[in-house]
Amino acid sequence: MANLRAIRMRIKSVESTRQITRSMKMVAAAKLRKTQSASNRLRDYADKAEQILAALGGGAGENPFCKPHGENKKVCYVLLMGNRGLCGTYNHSLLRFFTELRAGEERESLFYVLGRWGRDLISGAEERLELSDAPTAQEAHDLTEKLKQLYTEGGADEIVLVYQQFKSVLQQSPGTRTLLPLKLPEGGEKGDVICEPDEKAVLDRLVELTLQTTVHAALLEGRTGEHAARMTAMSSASDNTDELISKLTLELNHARQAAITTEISEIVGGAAGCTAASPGSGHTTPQSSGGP
Amino acid sequence: MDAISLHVLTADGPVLDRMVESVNLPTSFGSVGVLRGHAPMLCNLEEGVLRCRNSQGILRLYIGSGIASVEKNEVNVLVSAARLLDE
Repeated sequence: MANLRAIRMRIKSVESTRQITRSMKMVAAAKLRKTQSASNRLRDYADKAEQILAALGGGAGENPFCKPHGENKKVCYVLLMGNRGLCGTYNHSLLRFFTELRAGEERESLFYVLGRWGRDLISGAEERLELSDAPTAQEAHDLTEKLKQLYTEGGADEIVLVYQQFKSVLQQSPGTRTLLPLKLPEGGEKGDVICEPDEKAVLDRLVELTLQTTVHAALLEGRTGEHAARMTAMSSASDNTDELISKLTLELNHARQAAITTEISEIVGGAAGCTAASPGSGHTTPQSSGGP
Repeated sequence: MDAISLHVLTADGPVLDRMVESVNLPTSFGSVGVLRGHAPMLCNLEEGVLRCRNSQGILRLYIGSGIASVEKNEVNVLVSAARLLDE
């Protein structure tokens, strides 16, 4: 009976785990939809900015964010980790990628880490920053300003974003993207466009806008990947609990059947013992008590 | 006649897509009016009120800084933030 109770308790605990994994999957799915639609909206904005840049004829000119520093000695990585665990290999594969990247780096390097999971577990970061589950334009703006300042003050000669690039809901792969110095597409001929107040000012504004859009897109892409990874992980965890529950139920039925069988055989054995004992017991039988 | 298509976009999504007769943009050197057939133009926008007029009346938006492009009767306004004032 002790075994039966243990199995029942185990089933109950697995069931509550299933409840948690299922809710986590649903939450991740909702967040995934939110970040994906934010990404799509941002893409419209980025596409328009690119069109305008093309109309301007491209070419970075003397913009301080497009011009590489004289010497490229110091690199700053911006590592975008997840906010939580329980998302499969999302955080671990990115961390492994980043460790290898830094090990192979010959220049002096420093890094910023974003996201709670990374912030709490990775040491040696220059700065640890919070980032929400669905990064807003304001968050992207604040981060961009910080990175621009670092670049202009000479804290870094190159700034690289390191994040999980979103391929599909089932696949994310760690990758890098150089943010600064910014490479603008080499445009063709500048059309007959009036620039107000002047071409340089318009280009500066566009560079600013492009930097912020790039950062925002990367933040959203990383977060989309995290939600997708968590959804997939929690979905397979729920499947595993289903499997475990059916295995345990089977075990429970076996144990219960075994207990019933033992009980029946005990009863049968006991009854057989009784009937076998009654004829030879002498004084309790009616024959022996009722003599002439 | 509403001949200009005006698109106001922010990083968080489109705010306004409308056919209008004229647009008034708040730029760093004052207000700039755009009518049908305006020459291609790029200009920096500053925080302020963008006005557009169509057959239904005048609509005002409060916008953050950004950039505007005018080309072939199409006005694209990319700004950090935008909010309709009349709704």
